[in-house]
Amino acid sequence: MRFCVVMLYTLCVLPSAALQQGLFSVPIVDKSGAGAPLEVSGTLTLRESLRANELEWSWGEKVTVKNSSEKAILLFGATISEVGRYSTPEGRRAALGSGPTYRLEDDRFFSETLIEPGESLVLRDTKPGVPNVGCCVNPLSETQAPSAEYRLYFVQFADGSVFGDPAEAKDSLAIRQIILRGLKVLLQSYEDGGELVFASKLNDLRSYMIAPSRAPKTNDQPPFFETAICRQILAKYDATGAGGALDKVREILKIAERHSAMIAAAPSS
Amino acid sequence: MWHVDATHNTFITTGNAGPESTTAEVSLFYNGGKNKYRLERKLSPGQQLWLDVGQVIHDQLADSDGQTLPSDTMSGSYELRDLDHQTVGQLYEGKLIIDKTYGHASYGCGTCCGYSVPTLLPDPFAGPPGIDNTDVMQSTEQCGGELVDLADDAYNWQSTNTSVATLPTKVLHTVANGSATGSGEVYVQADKPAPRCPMAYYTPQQPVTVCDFTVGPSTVYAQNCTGQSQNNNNFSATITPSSCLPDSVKSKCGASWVSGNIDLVGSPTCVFNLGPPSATVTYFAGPKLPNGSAGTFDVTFDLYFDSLKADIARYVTATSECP
Repeated sequence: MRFCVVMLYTLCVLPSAALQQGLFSVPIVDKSGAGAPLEVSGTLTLRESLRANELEWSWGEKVTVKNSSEKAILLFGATISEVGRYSTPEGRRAALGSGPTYRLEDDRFFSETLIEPGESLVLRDTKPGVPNVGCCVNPLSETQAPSAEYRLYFVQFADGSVFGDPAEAKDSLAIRQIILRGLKVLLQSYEDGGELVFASKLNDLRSYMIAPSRAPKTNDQPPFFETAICRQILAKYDATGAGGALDKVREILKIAERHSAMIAAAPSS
Repeated sequence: MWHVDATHNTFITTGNAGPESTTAEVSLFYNGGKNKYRLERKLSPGQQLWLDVGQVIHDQLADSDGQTLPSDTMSGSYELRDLDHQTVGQLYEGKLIIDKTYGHASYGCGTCCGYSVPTLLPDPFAGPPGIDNTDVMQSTEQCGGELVDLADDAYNWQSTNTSVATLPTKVLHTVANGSATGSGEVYVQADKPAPRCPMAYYTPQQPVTVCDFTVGPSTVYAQNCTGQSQNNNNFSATITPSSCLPDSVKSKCGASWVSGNIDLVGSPTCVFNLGPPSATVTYFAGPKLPNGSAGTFDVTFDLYFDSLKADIARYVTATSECP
């Protein structure tokens, strides 16, 4: 009772003052299920402050995964979700205080380095920053402990075997095909018209990247010019010219072909 | 290098070691090597010349051409020449720099102390728009081997693309996303070919990349505005130039209500893969407002760039149009 009186006093007299400020350390819980080949570890941080019934909150994450399998990993997809302390306010459909859901997909299909057995990599490394602000929560209502969940939904090993449902990683698998097509178009432009035509294609891609509305309509989502691999090739082109970019295209395609062959050799399961 | 300020003074000395008289010329360079103070003296065999640079500045002593060193001049290079014996000089040289703070004295004599080809740092530079960075024109002084900043002596600062970054002085100012090359010019004694150290112009260059991005689209279409079922819309970041790669491990996204009948279902889903950084926002919309939309909400990306060692936050205020 005494607690309530103090709180109400603060609410009425100092409505702008922070009633509560909190920093919560939130352990991450692995919801991947049995046999998941990437073990998670880490802690999330929730910073909250409550001014009257207005909530400010921000999340930070330190999350690492480790390949606990005996095979190299080519692609994985995982989500990290962050659930805050407050229940859904009346008349609203979502609770305040929760963080984003991160959908993280790491595809090494075009990269020389795979995720080797025993290897660890940092998945998230952020601190609480500029807070979200939302209204309204009942400061007197019961709160729950904040929670964080990690779920590994798909892994493709270098030998072609998989963990999880490939349908869940369909976006990354589609981007892989978009990149492959884009690289082949670039290489073909060189074979058809030499370095001048190849450079012209690269200049087109750059102009599309700056002004996507100029790009020809395509069903590819995202289009090739928006992918990280295309950015790498354009950066190489800017740094070393068409010759360097052509070498880069060939090098990436060679790696992709090698990985394709490894996947194709996998026994169908 | 000579150095004069509240805590330092420099003495430059020369003497005639030859069997006959000769004319010694001491030149003190200042203002980035563009101006010089020149003193000419006839020296008999065995005779010495001592130049107290602090006194020259403080007492405004005129040189052989009637010029004085500006009273705010603090450092520069110098040159010693035997005017009567161009190829094989008779002069020997000494230099004494006194640091009054700790009572240190450093000596230099008999050799020239030129500067290695400088670099303009950071090299390369990458940053967000709208910041100022003080560049360093770093060179190695060959006598002591220490790294020195020649930026205060440099001039003719310029940028190849002022819509991306300007470099009117040693302070680089970033304007908008894109690439440019900055440069400045300096005129100092070179370190080669030793031991002559002839004066040389150096024009170090600095590749500059200004990273930025936009978030789109600004108009999205709700599947329905009944307020009874969820809508999903996708947003993505368009980053330029291509050399700016965001680090997904340190990047974030978010969404917040701005106006109208929009009820966001929690925070968005931030997607990081080989495509551009993207976010899916889920919300209830409706009823429809008189302008045909359900309302507006902000979608923010906070992208960290390793090349910048910093993050940039940008947002779009999206209007959700009703069917």
